[in-house]
Amino acid sequence: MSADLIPDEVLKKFVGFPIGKKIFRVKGKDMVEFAKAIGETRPEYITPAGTKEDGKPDFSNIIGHPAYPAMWALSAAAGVEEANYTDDKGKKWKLDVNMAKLLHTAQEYDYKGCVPIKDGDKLYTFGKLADANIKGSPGKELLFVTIDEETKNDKGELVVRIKVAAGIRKGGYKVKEVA
Amino acid sequence: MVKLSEVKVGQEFVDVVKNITREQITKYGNASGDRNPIHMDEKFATDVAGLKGVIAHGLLWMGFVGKFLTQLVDNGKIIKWGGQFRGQVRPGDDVETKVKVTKIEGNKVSVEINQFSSTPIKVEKGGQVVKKFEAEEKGWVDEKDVKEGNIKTKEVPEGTLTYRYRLSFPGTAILELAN
Repeated sequence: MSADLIPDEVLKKFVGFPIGKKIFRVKGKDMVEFAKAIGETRPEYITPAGTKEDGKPDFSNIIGHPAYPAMWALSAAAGVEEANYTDDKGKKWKLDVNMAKLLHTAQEYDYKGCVPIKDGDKLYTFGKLADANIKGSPGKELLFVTIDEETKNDKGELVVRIKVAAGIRKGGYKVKEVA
Repeated sequence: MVKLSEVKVGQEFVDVVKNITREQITKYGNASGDRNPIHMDEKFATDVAGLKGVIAHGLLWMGFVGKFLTQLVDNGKIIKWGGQFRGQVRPGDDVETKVKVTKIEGNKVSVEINQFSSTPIKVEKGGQVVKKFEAEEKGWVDEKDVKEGNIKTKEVPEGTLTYRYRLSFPGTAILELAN
């Protein structure tokens, strides 16, 4: 199927496709470094409670900054390349994306009903392709994709819902038959 | 810090991160794990990616919004926030975040976010250019900036500063404020 001419009804067959699972281990030191790198000064994000018996900083009081899901949101979204469907003739088709032509266009974090991210958490992110469409002036069409993700901790508690949107430039996307 | 009892629709809050440095971009790259060379390797960004030099991570300037929101809510919560990435932020830019209250419902406050990057180009005095910035030397400003009215001037102690001022991150947030 030719690139740039993917019919909308074909693109919509990929919508809803579950996009892998990303596992992310939270370390207090990393949470603090991330918060400091964006200029955060509030103590709940950057100041450890004290020192533990082994002399290491005690990060038990530190919570993940509201911008912290940047650490895994994009790599989870990269699973868009896995999206596929099987047509009524039994042929399997894949959304083939050149990640080098991908432009990150939007990001959103939703914390309603979520628990804070803490040192030592093991986080699981599951995503799905929420939308895909081609827009743009003739010759400059982009494939726009939206990926919805949910991240839960190892107790199964929701820590954040993430929405990632990206545009893939012309020549960077096609629908390909999987052998 | 914004108190629920004092907040009003239309009220605007402003934060400026001055003069983004390459060190700051590298620090964010290391802290976030996003070490894409377009952000951290001048030669790669110029010669391979054709970007006329390194650019900041979109999630870094989004992070500046997050940092400002945590300051505003103080002991409250950020329920939801996000926005779109526009243009590029480069070393030497100032990043200005404006947060405007659009709705108040109980303790939930909706805000509109508009973040702008300000790129210094040159300083002129008596018809002579007395200082050139990287934007002038490396050709970061183009015809599109002129057409869109992004080129501005203002008086500074050394003379008249010409700079580009453009939207880098429009978005929205819902905040839960404490009294």
